[in-house]
Amino acid sequence: MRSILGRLTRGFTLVELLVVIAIIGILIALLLPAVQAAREAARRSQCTNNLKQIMLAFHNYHDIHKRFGPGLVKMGNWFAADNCPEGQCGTWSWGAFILPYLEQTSLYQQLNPTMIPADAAIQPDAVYNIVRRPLPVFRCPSDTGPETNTARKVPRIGFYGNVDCTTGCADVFLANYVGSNNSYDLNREYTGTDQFNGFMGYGQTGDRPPRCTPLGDISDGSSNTFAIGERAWRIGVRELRAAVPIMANGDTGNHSLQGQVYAMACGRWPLNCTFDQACDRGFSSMHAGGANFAMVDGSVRFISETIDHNPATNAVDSTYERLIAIADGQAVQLP
Amino acid sequence: MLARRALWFGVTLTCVLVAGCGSRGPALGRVEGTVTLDGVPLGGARIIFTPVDGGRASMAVTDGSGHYELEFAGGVKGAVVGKHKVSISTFEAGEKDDTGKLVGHVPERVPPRYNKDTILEQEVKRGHQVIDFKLESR
Repeated sequence: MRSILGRLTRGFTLVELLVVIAIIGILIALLLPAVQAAREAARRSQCTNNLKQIMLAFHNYHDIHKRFGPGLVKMGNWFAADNCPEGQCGTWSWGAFILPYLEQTSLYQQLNPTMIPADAAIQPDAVYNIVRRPLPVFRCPSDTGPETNTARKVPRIGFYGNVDCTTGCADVFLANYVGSNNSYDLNREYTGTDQFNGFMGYGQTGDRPPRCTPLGDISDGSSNTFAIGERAWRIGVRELRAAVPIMANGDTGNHSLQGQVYAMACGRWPLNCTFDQACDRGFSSMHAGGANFAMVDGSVRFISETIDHNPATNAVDSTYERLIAIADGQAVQLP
Repeated sequence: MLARRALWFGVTLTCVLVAGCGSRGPALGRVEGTVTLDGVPLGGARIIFTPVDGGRASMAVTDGSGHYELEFAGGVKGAVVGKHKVSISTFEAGEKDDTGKLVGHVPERVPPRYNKDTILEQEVKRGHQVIDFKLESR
């Protein structure tokens, strides 16, 4: 009797306590990465869904205009973007023209991208305050960037800046989606033999000759061609500066920080690369091991960063480049 | 004694679980080295290792002293293990602005046999390796 009573009042030893702590530690160690992974999986699926919505909007645009929207224009079907000097004039990019199909008709009407350039459209404080507010459909939740893109600013009347908008200019909401422009470097040519070979580039609305791609031009098959991909704000120490997909800086030919790069990406810089500042012209994401891409048909694929890719030449000679090019004529198997 | 053994078991298990199974993806070897042109360090050159059997190329840009270290993907150093074609180039095409002036143009300093029609081939092995390139402009 005494021994049972003794055991009951004895308490427990230090070793027993340590074992209990260790077991709890193991359980937490098991659970914590799983919770983090589940949260990232949820963010990634939201990111995928955004791409899906954007492609749906593009297809609605295509139904009406018989072509996908322009990649970058000064305004409507009047002027191409190279009429628009950097730091002094704002261009419109693809996101602006699909706004009505993303349930943002009122924003579209306020911005009026077919009639005025972007620097004039955001001059009133009321409009400017609206474009500073993030549009969730353009934002990948996995990304760590701020609400407004302070690294890719746009000219605004009264707030003009230097050519790359690193001084002056105005910041508008940050986005993580960029159009697929060219399998090699960013390319603003839309005529001749060296024009861009991807989904979007310089373009004008309507039937003017500069290119807005109709579905029929995607001869490699719409399920095997990139339309929209991702760009991260930062990977490691390299600031990739994400994107601004409804408006951009001017785009006359300033090489390093031109307007086109605000809204489009190219295949010269490998997926998720960080070795050079120019990697901010490529596709990238905060998802481990790759990035989401929307195909022209509206399907969204996760492309691994280990994908076959040869950026040494401007030839379309690797899987990644074939996925970017819309009409290279080479069969491609999605990995 | 049993309790202590259980404790060690717990600690070991925790370590294994935290460490996980390591990263997936292809086998990589770390590559760094120096590029010289006629004995002079070549800075600002883009160096690309393209795997002959397909796969992602690794790239780097040389610093002022001609030193480079290949990057496979964001935050991952190295190149796919196996045979590579190597291209070294300083060329940047640049672009014409609306006045027709060429902006951002960098001329090619490296002969085409090291980039466009490259004769450079390198085997990348597992582990760390130093691969220097002594280029000649002749």
